[in-house]
Amino acid sequence: MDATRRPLVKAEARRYISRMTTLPDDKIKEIATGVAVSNSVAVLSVQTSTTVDSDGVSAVEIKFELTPGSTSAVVGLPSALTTSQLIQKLADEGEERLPIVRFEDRGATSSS
Amino acid sequence: MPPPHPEHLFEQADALIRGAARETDLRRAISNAYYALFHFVLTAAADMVVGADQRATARYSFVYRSVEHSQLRAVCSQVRATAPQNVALCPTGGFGGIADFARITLNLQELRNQADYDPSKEFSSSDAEIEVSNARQAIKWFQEGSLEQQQAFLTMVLFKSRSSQQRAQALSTPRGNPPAGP
Repeated sequence: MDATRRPLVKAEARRYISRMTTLPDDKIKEIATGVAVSNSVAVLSVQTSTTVDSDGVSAVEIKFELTPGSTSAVVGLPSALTTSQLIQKLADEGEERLPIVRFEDRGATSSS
Repeated sequence: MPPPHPEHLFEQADALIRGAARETDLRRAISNAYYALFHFVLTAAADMVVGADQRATARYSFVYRSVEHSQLRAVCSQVRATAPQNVALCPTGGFGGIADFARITLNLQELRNQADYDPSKEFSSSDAEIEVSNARQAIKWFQEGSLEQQQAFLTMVLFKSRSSQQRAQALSTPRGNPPAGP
């Protein structure tokens, strides 16, 4: 296995995570909301949760809950700009965890 | 045979979303969106090194197959900030739209991993629709980048800097055995 992709063993991961600079949830939500508003994305709320990325390292999932039925207005440039600018601004603010950005439209159909 | 065309993968994703009968269709659409970006990078990298007129050659396939997801991820992660630090190659004026491409690719790689492997995550048609559109926009951003920006990014995806290789080697070497030099 490529050493750069080698999953971190638990102790190694704990040491790394404990050294990571992380922003408080409130700050992340404030940045996320600002980015969404500046790109005319109609957001009801922003939720954050701690998760792990595909390398097993701590990450932060940021979910934009869209105004029901607004997906078609968000698709394309607004959603792409929001995703890119949020990742950029969090990195600029020193957030070391990888952000995983998602959008949720509860008015959209969900397949089973 | 030509490399997979990103737009064909996007169209396949669109069809999966339109006719989605199961969540699996939406997961496959998100996976397709990432692979469209991945194959776009492989094609651009091999075109740069070997040439677009050499696509039927073994040399082209060799370069095409040499790009790893982990290296693409590492480079995308390195350029995500406005002023990236510790980047092997930095074009005059920064990465511009290529950095936007990198951030979307980084995000989509994670979502693709969730879609393919994480049963605890749920995906809706809006999720899939938005991610496919983000991937399409990312390719536009890449294409709008200057040749210098595109080549710097692709070169870092293809070749690891000596320092990053040494870090990787040090990580994989058992304690007490220093990496072989020079």
